Amino acid sequence: MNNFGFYIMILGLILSLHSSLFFFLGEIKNRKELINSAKRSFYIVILMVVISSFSLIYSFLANDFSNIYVANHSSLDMNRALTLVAFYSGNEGSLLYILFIHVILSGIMYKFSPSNIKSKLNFSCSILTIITSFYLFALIFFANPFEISEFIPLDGKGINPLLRHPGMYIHPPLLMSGLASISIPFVLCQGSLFDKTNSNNWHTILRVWCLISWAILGCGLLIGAWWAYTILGWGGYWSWDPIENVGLMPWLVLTALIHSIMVEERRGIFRLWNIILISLTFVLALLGTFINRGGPVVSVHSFAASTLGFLFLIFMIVMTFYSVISIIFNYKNLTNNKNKIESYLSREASLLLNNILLVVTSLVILWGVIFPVVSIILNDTEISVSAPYFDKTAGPIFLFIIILMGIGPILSWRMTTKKATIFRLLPSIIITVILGLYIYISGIKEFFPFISFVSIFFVLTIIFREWIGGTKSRMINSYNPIPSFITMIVSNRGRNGGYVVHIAILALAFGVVGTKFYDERLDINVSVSEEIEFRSYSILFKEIKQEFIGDNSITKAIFEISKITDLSKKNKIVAMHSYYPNYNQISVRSAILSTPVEDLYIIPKDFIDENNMTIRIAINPLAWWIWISGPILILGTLITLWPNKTKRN
Amino acid sequence: MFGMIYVKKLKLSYLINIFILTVFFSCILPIENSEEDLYIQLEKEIMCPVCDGQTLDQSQSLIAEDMKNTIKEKIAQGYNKEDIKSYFVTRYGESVIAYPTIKGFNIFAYLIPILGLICSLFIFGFYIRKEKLG
Amino acid sequence: MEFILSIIFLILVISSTIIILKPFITRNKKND
Repeated sequence: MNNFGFYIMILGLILSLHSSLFFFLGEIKNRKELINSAKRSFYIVILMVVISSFSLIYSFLANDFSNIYVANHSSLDMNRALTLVAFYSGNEGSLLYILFIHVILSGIMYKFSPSNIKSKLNFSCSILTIITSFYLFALIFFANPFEISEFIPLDGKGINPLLRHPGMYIHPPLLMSGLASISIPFVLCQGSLFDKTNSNNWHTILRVWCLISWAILGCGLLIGAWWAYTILGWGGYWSWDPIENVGLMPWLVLTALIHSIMVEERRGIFRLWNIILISLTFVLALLGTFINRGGPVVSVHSFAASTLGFLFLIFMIVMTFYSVISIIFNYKNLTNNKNKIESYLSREASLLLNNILLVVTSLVILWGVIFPVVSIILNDTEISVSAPYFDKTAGPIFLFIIILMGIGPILSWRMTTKKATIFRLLPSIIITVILGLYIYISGIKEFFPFISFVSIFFVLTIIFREWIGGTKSRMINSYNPIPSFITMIVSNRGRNGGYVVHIAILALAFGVVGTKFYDERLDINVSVSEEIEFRSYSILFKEIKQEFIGDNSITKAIFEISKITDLSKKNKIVAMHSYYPNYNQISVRSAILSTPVEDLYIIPKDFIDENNMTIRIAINPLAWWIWISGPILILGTLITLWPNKTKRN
Repeated sequence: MFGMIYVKKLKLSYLINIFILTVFFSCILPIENSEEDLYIQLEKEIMCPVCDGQTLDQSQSLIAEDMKNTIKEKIAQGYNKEDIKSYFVTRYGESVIAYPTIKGFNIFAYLIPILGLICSLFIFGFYIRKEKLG
Repeated sequence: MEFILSIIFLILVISSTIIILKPFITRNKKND
């Protein structure tokens, strides 16, 4: 089965190279047979990758430890469900997984592309299959998941204990899929450049795939944060680790691109800027893959350093060159705009500013990621750049972006008079000032959190005012606002879906500000049956339980929580240490009691004996809002993507 | 009339600029929770030297726990924040601090982003002005 | 097992080749 999987990959490589060449030649020479042939190999390659992936999965399910990769990432005691996780948990397997997602998405994109654009996709598919070929090349020659060892161990090493949590079924695959999916908008943009007819039909497919890629990557990032919070149990959710950053950066630039494409669709400008944005996104995504696989930066996320990293570096450099050359080549065409920006107070200008800020944030983060390397090279000193740096530098710019999120949508295209701008903003400003006074009196007096909360309220009032106005105008005869509200949302799905997404971002910001500025911690020793009071909580330490599952031992600490104001209502939460002797690792899970107001979070630090332990009690205000932003984000994206029923010619 | 419009224009952009600068320089202010205990603040600013880029706050390894206890001891002995940080730097080197301290070359860590932001805002301003006039 | 897989592989190679060459064969047939 292992040889089979390997040779299928080789067959796949030959076919994808064929597809790439024939798509390209067929497009240049305008020969249908070449393109038909290329299409066929394009789809067959998808089949090959699927077969190859299933071969690896089969080896896992059959506990075939002659396969080195399987032996290193699974064990006899592992249940079947974990097999999928084991598949992508290592260097080679994760690369095969990325390839799998890449070809599936490529197939979906091509198969479901509207007929008015499909004939123009040949060049895009050519680049797409070159990327496929690269992944296959890397797998076959540098990271073969089907490598066999002559010595067959009796049992495998087992999966990394950290990966045993259900969240791990979703976070890495989603994140890897998100980064891999960026190829699709990238090749579509290149295809639109190649298409000399400057057709407007590209806008829709570009916007759709940018959104899909953005949503997948965004969810991957958010679920990673959620997993860190609930499973790793150190009380935080984002550590500005290089790998986290390297997933965030393309997401920020992609956010800019999604807004910027709107401007191109509407006014025909920003074409050069959009190509630069997508190229930057793509290169950043490749940078991510490079750093993740043996790059020069230290991270808890990286796979072991390998030559594969070097290969990705080369690929990234090649793609950067290609992007630059294609921009230079098409420069005249891209800057040949009929329209211009006419005023600072316009939707275009605010979106441009928004874009610039997002890109600057991304570059600032990049600077922070590489500065340790720069410091060693230029200053011969080893230093660290971690959370405190990024919080201080990226934080204020994010605040700016949030404020723009409120102002941008109320500006008209082309030009808004100052009067109109003030008129539209004034009610919101008044409400915000009142709310601001209220929170100041309630105790929020520190500058940055105060401004942040006020800005969040500001943007919310603007969105709500527009929605209330829109609903009211549809409520002519009825008293029930709900159908009118829904009709309003549906009537302009792009805009309103965008508002829902903005609300998600506001919820996220709300939670981040709460947890960052108002978190509280207390280290304390507790004994069984002891009851502690902390803030508004009464915490009863009930018992310590010891469990054994296979080789692994789990020590649980059970707490009963009630509010001091209402001692009758009790909640049971459990904190634990799990010890995995095979990996010589202890994984810590904290006990969490979550409400929209705050999270009570108990970290088990040290089990002293069967009756005593040290714990860290934490209060994380507003943490709940960070997680609720995920579903809201997905909802907003779906509303935006929901196609109109109008027929197109 | 012209003068009035000019004054109005000046006022609005003046206010906006002040606001931008205030928010912007707030990034230099300490962002920590000022009511937090000293040892919690320090945990967020000191790296665990062997834990793949984690701060003490983020890490749960034995070495990190050790260092956290050391911090508590030092606080009990009356050390202040800077002293404790110096103590760790002497033992583990500059890289034990979780951010580039502002001395010498490290100023570039902060200078480049600030310059970058200012430059990009200027470019934005000039670009729109050029489009409007052109 | 290995034998069956080898056969399957061979089938995949041959059918792939036929499938991707078909547009050229059809074109030639059309020209006759």
